[in-house]
Amino acid sequence: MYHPSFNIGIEEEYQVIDPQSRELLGYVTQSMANEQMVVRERNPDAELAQRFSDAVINAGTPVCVDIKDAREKLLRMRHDVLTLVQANDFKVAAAGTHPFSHWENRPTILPGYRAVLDDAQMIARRILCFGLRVHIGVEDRELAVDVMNTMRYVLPHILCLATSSPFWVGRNTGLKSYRNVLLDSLPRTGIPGFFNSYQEYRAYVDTLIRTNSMPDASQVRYDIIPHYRFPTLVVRICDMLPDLRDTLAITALIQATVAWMVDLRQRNQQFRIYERLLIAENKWRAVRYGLSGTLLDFGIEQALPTPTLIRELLERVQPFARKLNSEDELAHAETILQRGSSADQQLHIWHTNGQAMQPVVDFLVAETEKIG
Amino acid sequence: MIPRPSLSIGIEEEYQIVDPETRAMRSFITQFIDDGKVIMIEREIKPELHASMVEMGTPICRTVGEALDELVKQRSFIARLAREKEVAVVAAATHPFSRWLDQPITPLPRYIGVLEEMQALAQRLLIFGMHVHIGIEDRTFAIDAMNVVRYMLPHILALSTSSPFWTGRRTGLKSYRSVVFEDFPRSGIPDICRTAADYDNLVGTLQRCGVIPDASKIWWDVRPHHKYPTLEFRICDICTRIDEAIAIAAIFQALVLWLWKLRRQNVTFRVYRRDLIEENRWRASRYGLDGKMIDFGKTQEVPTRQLVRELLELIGEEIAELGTEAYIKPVENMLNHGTSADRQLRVYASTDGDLKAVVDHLIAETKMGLDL
Repeated sequence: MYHPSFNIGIEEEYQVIDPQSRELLGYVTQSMANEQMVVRERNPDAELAQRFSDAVINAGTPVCVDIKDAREKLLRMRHDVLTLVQANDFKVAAAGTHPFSHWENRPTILPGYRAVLDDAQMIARRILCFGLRVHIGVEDRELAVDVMNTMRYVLPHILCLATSSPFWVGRNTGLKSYRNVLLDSLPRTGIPGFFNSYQEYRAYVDTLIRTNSMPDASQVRYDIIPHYRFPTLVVRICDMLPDLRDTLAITALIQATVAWMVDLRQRNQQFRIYERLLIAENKWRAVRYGLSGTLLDFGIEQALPTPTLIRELLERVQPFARKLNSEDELAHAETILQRGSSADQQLHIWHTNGQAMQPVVDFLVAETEKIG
Repeated sequence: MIPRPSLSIGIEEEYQIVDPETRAMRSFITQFIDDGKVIMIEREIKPELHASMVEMGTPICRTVGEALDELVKQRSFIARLAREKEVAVVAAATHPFSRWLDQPITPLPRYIGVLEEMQALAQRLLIFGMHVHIGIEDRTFAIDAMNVVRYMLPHILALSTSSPFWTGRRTGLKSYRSVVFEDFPRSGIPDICRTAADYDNLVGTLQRCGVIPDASKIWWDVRPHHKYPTLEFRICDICTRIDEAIAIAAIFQALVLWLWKLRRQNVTFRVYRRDLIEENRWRASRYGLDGKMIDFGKTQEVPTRQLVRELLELIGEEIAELGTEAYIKPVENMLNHGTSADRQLRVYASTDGDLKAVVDHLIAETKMGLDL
C-alpha cells in the first residue's frame, strides 16, 4: 500500500520592473535545491547589478506539509521579495511573460539555461518567460511515474486556469499562454510520452546522459516529471500568476488530483491512458483559448466548453481536497472560472486602455503587490 | 504476402519568391488569384498562407531519373514565370532576413481561417519544406514502414538542412525551420503506431472530436498520405540544389525497399521511443552534419557523417538494385563539403555578414541544372 506524503513545494519566479519605463530589468528566481532566492539582472549596465549584487533571500525549507503551510510560506516569500525590490525603488510583477520587453536586447542569459544556450542557441535566447512549479510529495518513484502517466490528461485543464502570457514583445499573440509555445521549442518539453515504469523512465534519462545529450537529469523539462533529486512529482505547465490566491487554488487542484490518481490506484482502478498526441491537442486548445474555448473529452469523444470540464474535474477531486484540508483554497478556482484567468484580465485591461501595454504592467504589479 | 511496393516517387516543394533588387520576399501568388480562386496556368501552382510562397508538386514518377526530369521541368517553369514577373525564386527553408510579421497573407478564405485559428503561430510559419512521396500500396506495410523509418529521419534532415538564418540573424542552428514547425500541434516525429488500426483509431478519435476534418491535418515528419497510396516524408528542409533534392528522394526510395525486404525476412529495424528519436532530430536541427547523433543500438554518440555513411551502406544493395547510385553521388560531396546551410554560412562569413549576398548565392544555386 502506498502512502505518499502529498507534501507541497512551490517554486516561483518574479519579474523586476522599472517603475518609470515599466521595462523588465531582471528577475528573482528561486530554487528548491539551495533554499535561496537569487536576483538576476537583465542588463549589466543597469544599476540593478550593483544594488542587488549580494541580494539573496533565504527562502527557508521549501517543504510544506499542507496548503495552509504553503500559504504561509508563499506569503512570506512574496513579502520578502517585495520588501527587497521596493527598498531599491523597483516594482515586482508575477506573470508568464513581460508584455513588451524585447528578448533581443537581453545581453545576459538565464543562468540555469547557460548549458541550454550553448546547445540550443537562438531558441534559448527566446526564452525569457516565467513559470510556476508545483511539487507534490510522492515518495515512491514507481507510483510517481504511474501518476505522471495518468495525470497528463488533466494538465491542459489545469493550464486553462493558470495562463498569464498573452503578450510577447509588445504584441497580442492571440494566445493565452505564449510561454508554453516558447518553452516547447526546446528539447524534452511538453506533454511527456507514456512510461511503463520508473525503470523505463530512468533508462530514458540515463541514455540521454550517457550519450551527452544533457549534463544531468535536471534538463528534462516535460510538463510533469518526477523530480530528479527530490521525492516529488513536479508540474511545470503553469504560468507564473500575479494573484496569490490563484497560485494556491492551482496548487490545491494539483495536490488533490495527485491524491485522486493515487486513490484510484489503491482501488485497482486507473484513469484511462490516452496517446500523447491526443493530450497535446487539448494542451494546444488551452494555450490558444484558455478558459474561453472547448476541450476534448476523450471518454465521450466530444468537445465541451472548458469551464464545464473544469467544474467536472473540481467535483471529482473535491473529496480529496476535503481530506487534504484545502477546500477553501480550491474553492477559489470557481472565482477564476467566473473572473477569467490572469491572461483574460490582462487582455481586458489592454482593450480598455486603447491597446497600451503599460497599463497591463501596472495591473500586474498591483495584483502582485496585493498580499496583505 | 505483402506485395512489393511500387516505390513510385512524387516530390513537392515550397519556394520563396524574392525581389531581385531588395532581395526581400515579395508577394507573388496574388497575381494569380482572381475572384477568390487561383487562376489556372499551364502548371498547377498552389498558394500557401504567405503570399510570397508557392508550392508545386511533380506528377507520379516511376523512377528517380524520371523524378529528376520532372523536378527540372517544375523548377524551370517557376523560374521562368518568376523572371517574367521580374522576381526570383529561392529554394531554402527560411529567408535569411525577411520578417514574418511583414509578410502579407494570401487572400483566400482558407488561409484567413488558419490565421484565425493559429494566430501568431501561423504567421511565423514562413518556412519551406520538401515532401517526398514513396508509393506503398499495402497500407499495413506503410504503417509498419513509418514506425521503423522514424529512426532514420534525423539523419536525412541533417543532409537537407538549409535554414541557418531567421529574420536577419544567424540562429546557431542548421535547420531553424524544423524548430519553428514544432510550434504546431501534430508535428514532429510521430509516436509509435503499432498497426494501421492504431493509426486509424488515432485519426478517428480526432475526427469524431471535430479537431480535424481528415488525416491531411496530421503534420508529422512522416505520414501515410490521406489520399494517395504513399508514405510521405516531410522532415526535410527544401534543398537549394536540385541534385541534392534528388539524392535525398533516392535515399527514401531505397530505404523503403530495404524495409520491405527486412519485413519479408521477419526482421524489423528496432522501434525506439519518440522521445529518443526527437533527441537526434534536435541534434540534426542544431548541428546538421557537423555534430554527433546517438546510435541507440550502441547507446553511443557517433559523428553524424559516419552514421550517414553507415546508412548508405545499409541500403547499398537496394540502391544498386534500383540503379540509383549516380543520383545518390551528391551525398558524398555533401558529407565532404556541407549542406546548403553550411554553404550559406560560408557566404555569410566571407562577406562579413552580408545577408543580401546570401540571398544572391541562393538564387544562383536554385537555378543550377535548370532549363532557362
